[in-house]
Amino acid sequence: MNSSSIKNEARKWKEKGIISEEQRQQIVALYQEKDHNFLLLSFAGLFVGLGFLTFIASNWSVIPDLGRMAIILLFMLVFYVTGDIIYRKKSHAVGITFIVMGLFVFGAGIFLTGQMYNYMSFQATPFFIWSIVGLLLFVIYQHVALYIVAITITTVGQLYSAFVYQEFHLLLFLVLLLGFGHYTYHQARNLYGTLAAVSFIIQTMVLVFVGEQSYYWLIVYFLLLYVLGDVADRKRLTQPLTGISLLAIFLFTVIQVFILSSSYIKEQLSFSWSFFGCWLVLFIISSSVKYWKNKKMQYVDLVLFLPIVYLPFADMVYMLSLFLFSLGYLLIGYKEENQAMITVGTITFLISTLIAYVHLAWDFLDKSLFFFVGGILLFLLSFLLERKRRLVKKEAKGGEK
Amino acid sequence: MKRIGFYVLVAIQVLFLVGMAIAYYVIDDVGETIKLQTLPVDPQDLFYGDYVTLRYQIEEIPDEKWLGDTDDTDGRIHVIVEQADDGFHQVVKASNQKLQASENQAKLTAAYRYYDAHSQTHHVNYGINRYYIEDNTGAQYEQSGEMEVTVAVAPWGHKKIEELK
Repeated sequence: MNSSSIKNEARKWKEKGIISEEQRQQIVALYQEKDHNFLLLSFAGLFVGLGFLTFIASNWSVIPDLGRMAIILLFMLVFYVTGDIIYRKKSHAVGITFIVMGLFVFGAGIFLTGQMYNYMSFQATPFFIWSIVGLLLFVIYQHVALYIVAITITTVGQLYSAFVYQEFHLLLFLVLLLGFGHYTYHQARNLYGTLAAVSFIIQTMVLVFVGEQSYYWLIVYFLLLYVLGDVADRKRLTQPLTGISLLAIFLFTVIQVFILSSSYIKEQLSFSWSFFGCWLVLFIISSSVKYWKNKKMQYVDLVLFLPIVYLPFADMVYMLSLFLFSLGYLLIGYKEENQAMITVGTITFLISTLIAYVHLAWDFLDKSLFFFVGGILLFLLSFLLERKRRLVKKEAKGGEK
Repeated sequence: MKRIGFYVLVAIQVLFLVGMAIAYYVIDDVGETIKLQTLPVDPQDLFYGDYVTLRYQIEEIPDEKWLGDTDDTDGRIHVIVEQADDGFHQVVKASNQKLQASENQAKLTAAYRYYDAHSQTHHVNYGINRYYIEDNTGAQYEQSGEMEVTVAVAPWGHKKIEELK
């Protein structure tokens, strides 16, 4: 039965009092119109559009400036208007696809117009304008695809600024914090949180590496992200924000183990009160939040954020903190029978062991012996950990019965 | 409401791109004209496809005309040029700070490239190193060596090559 006859039938049932209005709506909703032909047509249109676009791109140099302008504007308008019409009348997904194409043409248009008309840019300003438009389109349509595209433009813009101008673009960072941050917080979706967190990590890395700051400021930024996730008080945000932050600081610590063993790098480090001050404030906030929320088990996360850089033998202390973190996760995971924590603990413990082994044994052991012993060590470890994990899983299942 | 917002946003994008184009076309009317002398370029590099590559004398700024700091030079720098006796504009002073142009002087913005310690000159780029030409006229430029370029400069710093001789 197709959807229009269902609609007719349901109306009759309702008139005879067999079903209520609410039930009628539910029945009709079950048989949504599926217009496959329309979907095909839309993609046909998209392909023809892309065909035109590539054709023009390959003949770009022979078209006069004004002709190029007309082509850019025409394509942009056609994509946007078609997108809006399809969005309202037919399909949200296909409509948004066209709008995203329009946004791409606009972005390309900024660069092409700039090139045609001899604009010099000293900053990643084109990306800033482009990302603002992307953000506004997301604000209007609230569609997940627009969020992904717009935040990607913002992040790529920051990387472009780093590679082309060796500069941190503050406005792009503010677009992330104030623009995307606002909607990420209020809509509290796991995907939005993850993307925003990744963008935050990338942008702060640009800030630290192209700016004048010492690299260990990353500890403060990653901790800031962690604290933001903790105080957000929405599970869908806390999870991605703290998760991404922990992943970043874990990798950072692994790298620290290696670079801090070089005495040259250690000599370059200088103590900075502002770094220590910022770190202390965030650390106090984070510990108090955990105290108030009675999440004392999570203190183990903070082990990775300790500013060990200045200590003597910092590489060894960092290695120790990797072990403390992973063992902490394993112990708490077993105690609370939390499978996710056990998995994280197992993986990080294996990585920590590998790092410690490489760091300590590489210089002393014969290379073939190094790999043999290391391999056997990892086999043993994974065997023991896996056996323990299965035991806990079994017990957990047994307990449920 | 959503629809109005969307079409306003689309209109802004169109206006932005059109504005970029218009700003270029009005340079002819509102801009100042300066005359620059090119440096000889390796003829192999000179003609490249549909444009000629140009290098300018004013792209090399000697130490004594440089007023700014030397360590923080990434990005935008400001250059004041003045017409010399030979009719060409020459650099009066340059800095990474903003400079005031007096009468008969023109203000240019440029991107800093590098400092050549050997010749003690600051190398900059004005973004007018390409001149697009019509098909098959490249050969005539290839022979000509040093050339005279007329550039129009808009009050907002935008530049346009008007003529190449």
